[in-house]
Amino acid sequence: MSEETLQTSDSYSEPQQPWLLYLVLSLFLLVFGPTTVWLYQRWTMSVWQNGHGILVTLLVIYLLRGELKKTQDLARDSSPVGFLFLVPALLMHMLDTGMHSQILSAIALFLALPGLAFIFLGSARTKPLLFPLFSLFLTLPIPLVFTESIHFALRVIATDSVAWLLKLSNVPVYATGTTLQVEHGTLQVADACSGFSTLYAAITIAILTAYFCHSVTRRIVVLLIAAPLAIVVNIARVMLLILLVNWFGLDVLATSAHELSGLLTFMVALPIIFYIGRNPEQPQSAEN
Amino acid sequence: MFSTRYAIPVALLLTVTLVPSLIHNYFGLTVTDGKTTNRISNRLSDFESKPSSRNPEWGEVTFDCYDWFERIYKDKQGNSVRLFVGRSFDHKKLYHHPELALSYGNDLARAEKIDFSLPPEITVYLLRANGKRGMAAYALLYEDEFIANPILHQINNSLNLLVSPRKPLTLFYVSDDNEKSQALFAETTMAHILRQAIDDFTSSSNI
Repeated sequence: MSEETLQTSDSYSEPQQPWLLYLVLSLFLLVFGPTTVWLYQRWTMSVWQNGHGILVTLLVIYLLRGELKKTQDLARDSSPVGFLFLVPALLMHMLDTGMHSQILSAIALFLALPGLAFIFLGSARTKPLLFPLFSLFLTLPIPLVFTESIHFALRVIATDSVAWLLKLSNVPVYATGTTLQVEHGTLQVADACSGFSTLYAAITIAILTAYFCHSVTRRIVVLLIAAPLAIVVNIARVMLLILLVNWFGLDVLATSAHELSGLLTFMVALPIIFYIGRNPEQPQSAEN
Repeated sequence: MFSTRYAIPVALLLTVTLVPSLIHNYFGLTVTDGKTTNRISNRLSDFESKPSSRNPEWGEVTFDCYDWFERIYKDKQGNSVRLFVGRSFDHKKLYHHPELALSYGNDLARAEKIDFSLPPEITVYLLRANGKRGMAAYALLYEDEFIANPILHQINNSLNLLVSPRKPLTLFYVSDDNEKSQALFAETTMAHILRQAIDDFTSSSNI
């Protein structure tokens, strides 16, 4: 008897108990419900912070669905390896209920998912799901203590670059630190304008795109280009805002143009990454 | 597609995890010790106080405090010290760089952690301004002990909180923008106000 037949007969002998699945799902939702709400709030707080969270999560759901379809013919299976993920995750979550850091609980949530996949879907089905599941970690809000210096470096890069570009364009400008002074106003390149959120989103999308790209060259290019692309797009955005201020005055920053310009950085950078990282077209066979 | 082979142990693990989640995330169970910041006198030694200009909601929004005040204590010579005292069940909000909220805009660097020599021993976190006058200091009180290591305290406390309600942490924060940044803390007016405020607070009776 082949191994496959053995596995199939073993799996089919397991009694169907869908109510147990519903029980586990309900308990999981109860345990991680508040964490999910917190994550959603952080993802939707503003375009300046973790705006890519929802996009990446939807992408991960799409990828998971595709991977599960590919393995739908496999027999039902389960692997106790999942407890190696699930138990530490639940301990971490329990610890966080007292600490209220939320981030620890969010890490626990993303660590628990591969654990549940191993336990309820088995190893064969879970292995192709691991990369999409672990890429969810790239949606976590990064604590300010880790990002403060990056924010500052990005602000300085944006300020110096825009000052240089303005001088090239013969627009009078005085730059000091992270402040730009033009004829109709003085602007501070604040943390929100540092472009960090675009950088974080671009790197996340680049990693996902590279993983699903079959061309090694494209993979390398997409990973190398993500960070500089995000920085350049943000410089262009700050430049545009400065020119708008120079033409129309500081009030323009109180309009939706300010926030839309933030969205625009995602709308420019992410499609470029998708385009570069797309799978090359297969050459048609001689028969066709 | 889904196997239910391990569903029962998983359900049991999730049920155990749900206990602290219910206590803290859903029911938000807390217990108070009956102490209140109101016990700290408006007059400490020769210093009379008046409330600062913060909005009434500020302490709740910033530190999740259910009981707080911020007062400016002044003596006849014009020396002035700002004192914030707040109590919150969300410990991290209180101990995680309170100077960012309470001394916003001041470039303060963590200088040292010192212990007052006289009993009760108080661990004070000292912050000194960079390149100009200004000093701030704070102490954290939980139950009847001053916290020397907030992170360790938080981890230990979290383990205790698995099946018990939260207890409040109290933050005492003093600042003086005119104090020489290199002054010896124990000899400053701030230290005097901080000590007296803590004495007032800790002497308040439990209900």
